[in-house]
Amino acid sequence: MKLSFDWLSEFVDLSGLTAYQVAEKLTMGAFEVEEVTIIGPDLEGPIVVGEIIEIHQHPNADKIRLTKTRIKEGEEPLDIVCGAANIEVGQIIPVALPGAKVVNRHDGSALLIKASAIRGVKSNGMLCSPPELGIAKNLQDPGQDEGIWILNKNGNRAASELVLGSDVLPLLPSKADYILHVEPRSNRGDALSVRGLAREVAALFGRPLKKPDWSLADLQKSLGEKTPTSKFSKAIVESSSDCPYITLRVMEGIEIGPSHPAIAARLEAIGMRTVNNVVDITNYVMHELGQPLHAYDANHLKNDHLAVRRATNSETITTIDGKERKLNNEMLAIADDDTIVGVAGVMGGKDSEISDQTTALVLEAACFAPAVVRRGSRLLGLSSDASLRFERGIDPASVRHAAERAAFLIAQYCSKEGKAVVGPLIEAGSNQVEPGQVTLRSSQIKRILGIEVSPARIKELLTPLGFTVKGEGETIEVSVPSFRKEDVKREIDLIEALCRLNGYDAIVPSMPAATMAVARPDDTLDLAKNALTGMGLSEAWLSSLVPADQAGIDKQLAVEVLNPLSKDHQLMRQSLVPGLINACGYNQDRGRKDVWLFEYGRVYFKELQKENKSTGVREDNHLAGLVSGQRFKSINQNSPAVDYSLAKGMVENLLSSLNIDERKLAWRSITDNESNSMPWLHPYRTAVLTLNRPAKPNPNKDASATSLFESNIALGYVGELHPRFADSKGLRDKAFVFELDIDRLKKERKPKKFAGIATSPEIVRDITADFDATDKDVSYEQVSKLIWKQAGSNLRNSELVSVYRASAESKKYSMTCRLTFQHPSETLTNEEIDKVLTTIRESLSRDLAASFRL
Amino acid sequence: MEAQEFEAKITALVASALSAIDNTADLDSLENLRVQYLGREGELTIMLRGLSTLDKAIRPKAGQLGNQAKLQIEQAHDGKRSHLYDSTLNQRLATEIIDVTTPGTRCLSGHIHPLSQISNEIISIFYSMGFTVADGPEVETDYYNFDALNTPASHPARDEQDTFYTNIGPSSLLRSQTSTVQIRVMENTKPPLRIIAPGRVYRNEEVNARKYPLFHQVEGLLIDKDVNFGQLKGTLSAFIQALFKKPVKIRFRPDFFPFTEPSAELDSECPFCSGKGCKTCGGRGWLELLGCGMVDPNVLKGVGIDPEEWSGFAFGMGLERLAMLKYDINDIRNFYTNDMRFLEQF
Repeated sequence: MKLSFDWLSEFVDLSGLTAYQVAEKLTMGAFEVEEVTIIGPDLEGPIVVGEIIEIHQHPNADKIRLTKTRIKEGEEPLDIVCGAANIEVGQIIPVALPGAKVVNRHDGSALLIKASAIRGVKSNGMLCSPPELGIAKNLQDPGQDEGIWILNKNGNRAASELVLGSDVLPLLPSKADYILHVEPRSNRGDALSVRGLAREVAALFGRPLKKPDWSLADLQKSLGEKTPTSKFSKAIVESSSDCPYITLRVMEGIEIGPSHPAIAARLEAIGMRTVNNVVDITNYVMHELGQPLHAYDANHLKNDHLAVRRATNSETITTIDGKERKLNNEMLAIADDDTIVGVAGVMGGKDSEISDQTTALVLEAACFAPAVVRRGSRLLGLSSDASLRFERGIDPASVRHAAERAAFLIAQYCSKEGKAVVGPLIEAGSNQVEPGQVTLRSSQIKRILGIEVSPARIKELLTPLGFTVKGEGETIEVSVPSFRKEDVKREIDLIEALCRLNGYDAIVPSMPAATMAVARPDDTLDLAKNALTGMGLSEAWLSSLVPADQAGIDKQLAVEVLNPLSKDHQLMRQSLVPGLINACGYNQDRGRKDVWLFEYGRVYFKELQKENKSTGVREDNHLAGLVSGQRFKSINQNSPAVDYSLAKGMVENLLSSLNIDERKLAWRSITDNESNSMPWLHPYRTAVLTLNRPAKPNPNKDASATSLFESNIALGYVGELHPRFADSKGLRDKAFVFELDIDRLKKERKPKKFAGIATSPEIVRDITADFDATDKDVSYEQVSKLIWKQAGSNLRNSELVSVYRASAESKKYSMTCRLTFQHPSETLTNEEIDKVLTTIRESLSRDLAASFRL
Repeated sequence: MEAQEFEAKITALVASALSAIDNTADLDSLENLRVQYLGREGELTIMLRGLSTLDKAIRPKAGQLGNQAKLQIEQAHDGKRSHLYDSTLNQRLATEIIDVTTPGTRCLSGHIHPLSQISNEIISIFYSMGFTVADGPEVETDYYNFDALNTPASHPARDEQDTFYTNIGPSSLLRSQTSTVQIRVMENTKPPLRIIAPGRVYRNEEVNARKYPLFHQVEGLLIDKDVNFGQLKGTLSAFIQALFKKPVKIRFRPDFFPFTEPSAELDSECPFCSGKGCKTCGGRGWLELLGCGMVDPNVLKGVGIDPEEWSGFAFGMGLERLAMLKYDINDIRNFYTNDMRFLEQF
């Protein structure tokens, strides 16, 4: 909210303080001042009232005249040159004397007045136009925006204001003011006003609050205490929980016009549009006291009462902003029987708004329930200064004061020929608030804040905020003012207030004493990232919110955002790879050929059977990568392109760096169902990594599931990008991807342990098996697994050294594996090895239809 | 054989050997000469082998001559060999001139994302202060995101944080703050507690240079006996100095959060203008780094911890914000576009 420093000074003594000091103190007192702006003209005296005594033509210029202007009765007039056309003898005008600072009307800059010669004629000052005194639109003297400001033209000023030589500045509508932009606090509706912030400022500086200098009763007496002629006499409230308290007041003898300059200037200074004198006063009081008000044109109300009730689903209203709005029974309305005249706390209706023809009005000041105003405001998509305040809570005990303030100002400034009639207050509901009572223990202050605050100091700090403090020792009884009842209910709330008012700086920093056992963090992720960056992949962070048409989403398991920001952020992802593919395309589109990326991130699956205490969603951590482009950059050698083998090698390296026993895992081809569920995968160039043993059953992971990660043994995959998918994403080069369920993979890590280095001799033997795919298509994985199974405990390593195929179409192929045997301590004999090899050959023949050449 | 005759023969042999060596132009012929004279069947070797047949009287003299001759030929050979090796090598080296300033063959080098880097830094600082990492779900319920954090349905803060709701159920939402992890940890672990919880959060906000519908926070929580506001100040001051690796002027400014009381915003003096006020800090001279406060007794009560026995503080910070400040990044979208030209700068 925008807070005028000048306005604030009406409520609290600010003498000797600058706006910046107040801003700093408020900021450090929980009301952050984001900015201080200066408004209004930057004027400095002497600028005085003068009278034009004589006018002569300038000897050397056609359009410039020479005046004799008197600035003090009985003194010689001054020679002042003037270029304006509207001057005449006898006019009372503002005169800026040498040393004064006014506004340059051409560019708004500061203009310093000094005695000088203009075209050879001495001039001892300047006659001022409204713009030169910072008045853009002269509301006091309509039509006088151009030329010299003739103060006695409209006869609207008292003679006392036109005494020659008196200061002009008090006549100006706006003085320079400082506007503090205060961040509103959701829990401090009481501070959304000049008075509310004044209380804080008073407490923070230890300054007294000023008493109001107005009285509606006194004003009514001076107006003759007439009663209105209107039959309007009642307020009816349907539900006291929707509206605990409402006041209405009839006012007659009203004349609508522009606001008093002082009120208009205040509102303009805080950026409010001025409307007319009545509406401006309701806004004025809202900013001053925090109480929203509304004025209805009494002549447009048909009945003798207004009712506060829920709207029905068929009702509509055209609000002041001219829009027709459909209402429903979640909204609270102000009704003139069948006619809705306002949405309570949000906005009034067009039909009964104050217009130029208004002569009588009904002024409403009420307390509406925050929740119902918030709901109405949300449903209508309509937020106003009033709804903002009602949503944060209005103190019923303060309503009447604001109602009187507004009536006072309307009677003062909107009266037709001084004959305003102020009707009696019409009330419904109760404005009584049980005083809050909180017990504060000195020991708790010390315990929570670490410092002592003496009872005397507590009293000093809390009293200006309206609290009453009683007690001296451990127990202090604090009664809470009605306007703070909502946010101060507990001891801790008072401790907070004391901490803030006493200053956070007063709290001495220290370190927590106790030490705790520190659990070792899991190093899986660090090791994996080191391995991947070491292999040349850079880490990406991708959005977990993906478009509704994202590829590979299992709709049945999808977590969907019901109120998405856009179609691009509608679902929670189920794989990291589509995002990496998009990132690859993004980079390729920008001329980047080598894109090597990985991401560690979450994927989300709706649980079909919600487990106890579960959120209904399974969140798994995946590690995925994409490589495209070339293996390395060199000027001398051909740089080979990334291929499947490299991508798979990366995954194998990664497993090795995590100390995962690859023999507990198995690679297999991707199934049709799996590649359908992940359409970015090449159906014949994708390997799936699985556990080499049955996993424990998991109700949410089904071994027969079509989606790869829904099977309870698949840990991930590596493969080439499906050409169709790559084309559809506009990729310019082949790309290879992998994705691993790191949470489950982590469980396969084995502790590091040194196995020793055997010194006994190694025996190396090659074994070449021939296969015929027409008979049986055998993979290396099958061969390898069988070799390990049959080789006994002395096999140290088995390595594929060649795969031979006479031609690409050939169904016949051979695989050569190099086996390394070693006993930990003894020397193996050839006979022992031959025996093992025979077993392996027999088994390969039997199980995989291998044949062997002699 | 007479002594003179032997001497003449050996002199002639030496002369012919030395001349041949001298005339040799390559290492291979030199090696042939070595074999011819000094090899097992070489001329000198045979001659010396014949010494035993000589007269006993001249044998010592002849032996001496023979050894001198061998030494002479060997020296000549070695000298020539080293000369020929050097000159041959120098010729080869001259053919091996390259521009040594051309760039080397480079594999791609991988880079860690800046948000990971700053997150790791934050975690390691708190780790050294005895905090351990905790984790929680991103698809949460309104209980953990709001109610348990002292933000009941009627609380205005609930509207201010524009929350994404999901199809999982009426209470299901994407967490808007990592404070949810506080509650989950306190529900399952008895105090004392020191946890740090990095994670992704979501808010329904239009995308612009400062806002993205998802971002990342690090939440911290310390619960113990007699934890007070002074310790919150001490712990977080130490953290900031460690994060920026230099003395930074900071202040604790009062603020309101539903789940802490009292609450504070930790500001640092704006590093871009040294507190004078600039565009980055919006003229304030200060930058918000993190929110913190003493855990509200309602939050403790809600998870069954007695606020009269235990107290604690909590804090939360935005990773993007800290990374933007630390690395001078002006658009939050850079973090999620994954442009290699961006990633490779970290």
